[in-house]
Amino acid sequence: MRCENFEEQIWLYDELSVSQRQVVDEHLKHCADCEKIWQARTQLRLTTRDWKGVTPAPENSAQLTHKIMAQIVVPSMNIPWLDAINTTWLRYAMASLSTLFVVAFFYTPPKNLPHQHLQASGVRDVNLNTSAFLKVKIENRKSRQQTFSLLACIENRECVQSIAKKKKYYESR
Amino acid sequence: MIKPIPTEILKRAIEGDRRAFQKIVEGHLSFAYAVAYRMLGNRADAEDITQDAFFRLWKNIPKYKVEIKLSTWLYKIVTNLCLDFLKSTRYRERKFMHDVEAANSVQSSLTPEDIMNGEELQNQLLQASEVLSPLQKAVFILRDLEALTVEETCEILSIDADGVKSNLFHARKKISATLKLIYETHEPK
Ligand SMILES: [Zn+2]
Repeated sequence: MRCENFEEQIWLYDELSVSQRQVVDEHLKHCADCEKIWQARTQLRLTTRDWKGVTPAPENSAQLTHKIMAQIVVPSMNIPWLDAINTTWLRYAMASLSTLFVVAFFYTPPKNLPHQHLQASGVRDVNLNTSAFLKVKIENRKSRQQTFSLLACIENRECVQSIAKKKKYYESR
Repeated sequence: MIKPIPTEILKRAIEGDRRAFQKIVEGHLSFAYAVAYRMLGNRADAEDITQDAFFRLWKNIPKYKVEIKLSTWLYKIVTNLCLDFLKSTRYRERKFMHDVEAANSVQSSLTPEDIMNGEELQNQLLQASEVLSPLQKAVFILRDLEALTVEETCEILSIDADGVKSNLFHARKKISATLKLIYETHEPK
């Protein structure tokens, strides 16, 4: 083998197999030129070892970490069932549900049903004392008739007609 | 040496856990920066590349496969960002300006004793590796300074073993010649 072939092998000595190294070793015993290359390679190995010993470090590791983390944004979670729900649809559903709650809260059931009052004044008593229950009910009805309720009037055809008559009367004057 | 990241932390980071990812950043910051600095020879550029590399790692971490070491993957990102940067106009312009300044400046009065100190050693390495092509520089840093295996170097640079060896041969030879020049310049008179 010629010297130029050995040159590459000397520079890559650490990459060679044992048998390849033996061939190089044998050549080096007799070749002064290649021995010079070997010395240069040895010198470089020592210098490389020194270079390895000094690892460049950032001036401020904490600050650099902070800068890196500042640009790290958590991606949206990949949950298939959550993705399936349309946000707009969800918003309308929630709005409908809350409206239903408000209506249920203000809803007053018609008072002329006896069982409603059963609950109001105690179930056991009323079942046994019907006259007392009726008395409360009649008084309730009387007091209700005394106050004018627009809602009740709208439900009543005669009441609406009488308001219409009154309105016509005042307009014609 | 880089401490391996516990599987649990790695798993959480892959699932998008920011805190787990911060642990990865803290564990790998030094080596990512060191590679970038040795490749580019400039603090600001090395910090920019390090930042960019971790951002890319975060964006791609859901695609991470356990067959490849996380550190190898990060080396790959950092090294490729550096190679792109070394080919960029921005770098070439800056290098040109730097060379002009160096040529105009008075020869440094360094003594061989100075060369032994840490900062000077780093400057010496940067100066010596200036003569290398970006790929030769990358191979030299990964193989001789980071002590990675030929297989890892192949994976990081997407080249075969012959490519690694050929680039390493030229890199070592050129650096040795440059070092000889540096030593001759600083020889005591
Ligand atoms: Zn020879």
